[in-house]
Amino acid sequence: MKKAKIALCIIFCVVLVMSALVGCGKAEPEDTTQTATPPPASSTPTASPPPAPTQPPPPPEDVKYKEDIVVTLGDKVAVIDIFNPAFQSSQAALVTNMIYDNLVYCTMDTTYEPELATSWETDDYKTFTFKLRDDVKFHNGEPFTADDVAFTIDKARESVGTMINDKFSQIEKYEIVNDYEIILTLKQANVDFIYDISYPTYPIVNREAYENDPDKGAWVGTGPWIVTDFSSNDYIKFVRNDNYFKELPKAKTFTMKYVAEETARMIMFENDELDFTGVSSDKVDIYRNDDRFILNSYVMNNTNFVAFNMNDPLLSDINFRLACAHAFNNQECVDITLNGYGVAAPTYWGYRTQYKNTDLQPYTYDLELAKEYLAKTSYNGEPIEVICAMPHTIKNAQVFQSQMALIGINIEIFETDGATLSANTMWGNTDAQIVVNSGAWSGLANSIRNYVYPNNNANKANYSNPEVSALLDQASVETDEAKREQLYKQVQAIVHEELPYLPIFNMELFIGGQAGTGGILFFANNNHDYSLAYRIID
Amino acid sequence: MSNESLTKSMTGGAAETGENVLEVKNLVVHYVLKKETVEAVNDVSFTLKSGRSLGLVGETGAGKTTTALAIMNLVPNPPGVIKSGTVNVCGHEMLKLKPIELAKIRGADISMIFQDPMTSLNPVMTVGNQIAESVKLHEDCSHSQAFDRAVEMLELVGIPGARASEYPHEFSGGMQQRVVIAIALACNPRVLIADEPTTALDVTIQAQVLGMMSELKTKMNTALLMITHDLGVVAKMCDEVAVMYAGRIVEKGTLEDVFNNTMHPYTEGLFNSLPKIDNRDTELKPIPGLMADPTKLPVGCSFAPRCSYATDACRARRPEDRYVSDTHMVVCTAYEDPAFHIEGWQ
Amino acid sequence: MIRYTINRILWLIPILICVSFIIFGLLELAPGSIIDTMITEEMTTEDIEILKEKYGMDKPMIYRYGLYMWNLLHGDLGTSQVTGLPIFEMYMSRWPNTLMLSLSSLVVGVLIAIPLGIFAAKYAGTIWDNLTTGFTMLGLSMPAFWLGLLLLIWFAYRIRIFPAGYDGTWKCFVMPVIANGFSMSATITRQTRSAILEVNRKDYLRTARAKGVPERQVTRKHVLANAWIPIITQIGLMTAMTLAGSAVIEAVYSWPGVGYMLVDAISRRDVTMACGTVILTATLYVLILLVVDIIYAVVDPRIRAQYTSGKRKRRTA
Repeated sequence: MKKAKIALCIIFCVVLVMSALVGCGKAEPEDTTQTATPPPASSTPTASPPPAPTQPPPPPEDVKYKEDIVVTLGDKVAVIDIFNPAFQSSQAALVTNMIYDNLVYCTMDTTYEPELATSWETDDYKTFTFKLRDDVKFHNGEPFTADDVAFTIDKARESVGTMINDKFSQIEKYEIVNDYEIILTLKQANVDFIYDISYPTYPIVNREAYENDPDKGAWVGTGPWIVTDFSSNDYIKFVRNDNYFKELPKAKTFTMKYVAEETARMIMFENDELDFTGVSSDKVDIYRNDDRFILNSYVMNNTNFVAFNMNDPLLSDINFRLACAHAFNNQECVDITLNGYGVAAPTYWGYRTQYKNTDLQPYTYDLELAKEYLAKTSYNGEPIEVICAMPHTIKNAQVFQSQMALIGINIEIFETDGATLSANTMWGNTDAQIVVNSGAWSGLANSIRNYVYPNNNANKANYSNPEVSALLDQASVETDEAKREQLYKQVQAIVHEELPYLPIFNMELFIGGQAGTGGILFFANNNHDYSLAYRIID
Repeated sequence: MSNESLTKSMTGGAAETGENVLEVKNLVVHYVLKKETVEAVNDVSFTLKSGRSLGLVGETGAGKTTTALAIMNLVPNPPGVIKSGTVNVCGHEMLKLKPIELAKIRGADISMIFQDPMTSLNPVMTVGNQIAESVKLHEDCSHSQAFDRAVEMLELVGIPGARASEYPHEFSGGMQQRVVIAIALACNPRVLIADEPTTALDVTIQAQVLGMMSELKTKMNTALLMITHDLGVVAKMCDEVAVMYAGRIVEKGTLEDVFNNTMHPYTEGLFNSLPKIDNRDTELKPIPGLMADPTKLPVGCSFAPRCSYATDACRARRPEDRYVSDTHMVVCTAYEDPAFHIEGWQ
Repeated sequence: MIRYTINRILWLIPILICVSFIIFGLLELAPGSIIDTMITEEMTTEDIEILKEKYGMDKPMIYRYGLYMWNLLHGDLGTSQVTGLPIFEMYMSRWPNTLMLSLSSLVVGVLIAIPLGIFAAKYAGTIWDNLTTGFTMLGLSMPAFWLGLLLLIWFAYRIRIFPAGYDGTWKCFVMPVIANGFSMSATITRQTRSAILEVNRKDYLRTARAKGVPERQVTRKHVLANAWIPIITQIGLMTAMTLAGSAVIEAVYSWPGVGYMLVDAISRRDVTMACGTVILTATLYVLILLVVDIIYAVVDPRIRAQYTSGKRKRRTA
């Protein structure tokens, strides 16, 4: 009996130890071998990238629409106030598209349509005259007038440290001609000014609302939806603005909520508790062929990159960067991190950003060449630190690590959270040697400024080239479009050669909807417009 | 129930002197453990008449407490098992009754007080309530009546009645023991078993408590089974004595019989090991050897290994009960030889 | 007794000061600050400097801490640096949700645990006791979020009885209460069982039986009455812990409670918010533990005597 007990104990201990070891195995990245493993059989990688999202067809008449639409947000929304720096996040535009309007509306193809302004004129891209609509009311009943535009500009200029402050500070003065006409004069000419004021997170707000209602005045806009309830970091509830001057949404109430736990969110989606939700690339195959759901996809403009700290003695050596470029296989990143749902980026430029220089040759995958370049550097096998914060950038870093190991570069990954990454990679103050991050790109070419102009927070490579800076400054005032295009292409060529950034990929993102849904306007820069989302129920 | 009749029952209008209130016959109790069996009580028999007191004497481990617990049918089971024997308390067969019936008898007909008063009382109940609980269980009365009786009992044991709403931790050891006695006597039981009631108290308090018990015993005509290892206490309190060794009563008789006419070698040894107050220079004479191991009792007389008179016959078979007079019994094979007698204690 | 209570409440002040200092210090020491969570791609270093000034990040920590403490001592918990809303209101608007979840879980947990503990103690050493121990081991070793996720998958997905998200009706209560209550009941069961076993060894039970107390009354008035103290301690601690909000359960079930507030505040480096939340939680703990101690005094007269130190009776011989 005693022996039996001892034997049982030993067996249990062995089982325990073995199960503990099994758990260990999963932590490593899935693929660390040289041979590029084919992508998993179940996924169908996009051989050719999906076409650009087009304007969806108008919703049919004569059908019954669901009255309440529920969607999930990608991140928490803490405040709703365009002047509060805490509002700046990836979700801000989703919210502002619902509540507010701009003077000018920028479409998915980067063309401009009148919104709160009926027309605008400029001769020199320095002075702009806007004629405004006279039939628009804010959610609180106040009429929209030039005074509200003036208020927005003033308040923006007060809100130091915010993006809206940056954009509106370029306005030197404004002149109110009458209630429905206003003239803005910039400090210097800016050909992209219309783009700036059409950006969804810089809308027009109401003076009376802000002054009379300090708590909720910020929620007042002219848009198709009115905020009825807002629980910070939880949900926002909207009701339709029946007096909206543009197309009226089909639904009557709307809820945007944040669900932290992905499993819970997917279950809610399958249980039909949500109408729309984001679907991550590893779950796409589950819903792809299921008739109950519609999978909307698009390739994001943002490009993930590997940034080399140009201030670091080792990394400032072009040979080292060339070595990395030739040893880096970014298609493998797409396969591993995104299950194949993405495009290996040939260049650092945004996916659909204008004036893309398609003549540039991507760096070939050639391990021997890479080793040659590496031999020319002073690298001696010491560990190089890579910093990253988001889940997919972490995976990218791991792939990068395994690929660099093939030519003998020893990479150490430092995973952290967003705030720490930010703190460690400040312009001029970067401790990190290599940063793997995601770069936001709008449709406009001047997005490049963020990454190559000195003193910009997004310039994780600490890159500074006076020639490039001069070209960019020239381009921002160049009114001739052909010339502008040339300038930007020139910039791209220089930066491509100097290689401060290694492009990785552009993600293909998916928004899942229940069968019968539609109406979302997908923007390549992720500032989607949900305001006309609908669901047909029969 | 009126206060009058309560008082009446207190002053012992119940039993007649002379009636058998407790009869134990051939009691055998073992503790069955995993690896061994402790033969704690081996064939114990005695009777107790109302108004009389019997002292059960023996060293630690002799089986006295087990006997007492068996009488109340409180032997913890597991591991204790009452193998055989009968216990009759005021006509009730204790070992055959169901727990519900036993609960009615315990506290009412027979009570027990234990050795360590500090742990015998429930720390979260007032002493008054603990006494009253007993009263309410056995007599049909209201809480306030029971509490009044509790106060009376406290007075009886020498504690001011006002302290009935205090908690046990507010009393000293001696007073706690008095409370325990008050609980035990609250319903005027016919038999009181006192298991080493003063062992945990210091000598002066001991005298007080014993004196009080003696008084009460007389007043209420309670039969007393006094378990102790202290011969002096026996001398003071008891009419009859039974000496236990290794689970058997080896000598039993009146106080006179056992003290002045000692017959069993073990009893002699006990008396000899007492220090003499008038002869302080002499050495103490302990009984040689150790107490018999109750898990491995020898075949013959359990005392034989330590007995200076032991013969082969003693070691060979189990000694039998031998009555040398009406009251005096000894269990010793040596007495088969009519000429044999112990030297007697000095 | 009153004096004791006041004494304990006064202890809140040094405790809160310590707690706030620790949280403040830790968050300041952590790399990154609230600015880093707000900056976007297009910002320049000048913008960042301006932001820093706005949030007081250009001044030394002691200055910010001093300002915070000054407000705190005036009873002002301050506003969240992120939302600008007063912290107390933000906390209080979410606290009822946590309260409801916690109290329900506690009730469920206790209702399961105490009878189970008594049962296990009664049949100690037998197969029933072993089964109960197995059950409590399961409850203790299962992380709450794992059980939460499992329940979610079983009951919201495989069999669709309950909603996966928070919808405000009674249905969304069931799963989080079970997940929470199960792990709570495990500890309380063990505590009950051992408390009862401990009391079962005591001599005064023997006295009670000897005076003829029937077994059920022994259990009720003598065993349980004495076993309450360790059990109450455990329940008190669990109450405090659960009222502080469970960030994990709230994340799994999208429950709008206070647990997640703290996690969020920390990841945003919103120092005032984090401090405020912790201070409110600490106050809650202190008050609950005070209530537990007062309950002790009600249940156990020996402890009551300790508290009313001025009136100790001299023990008489």
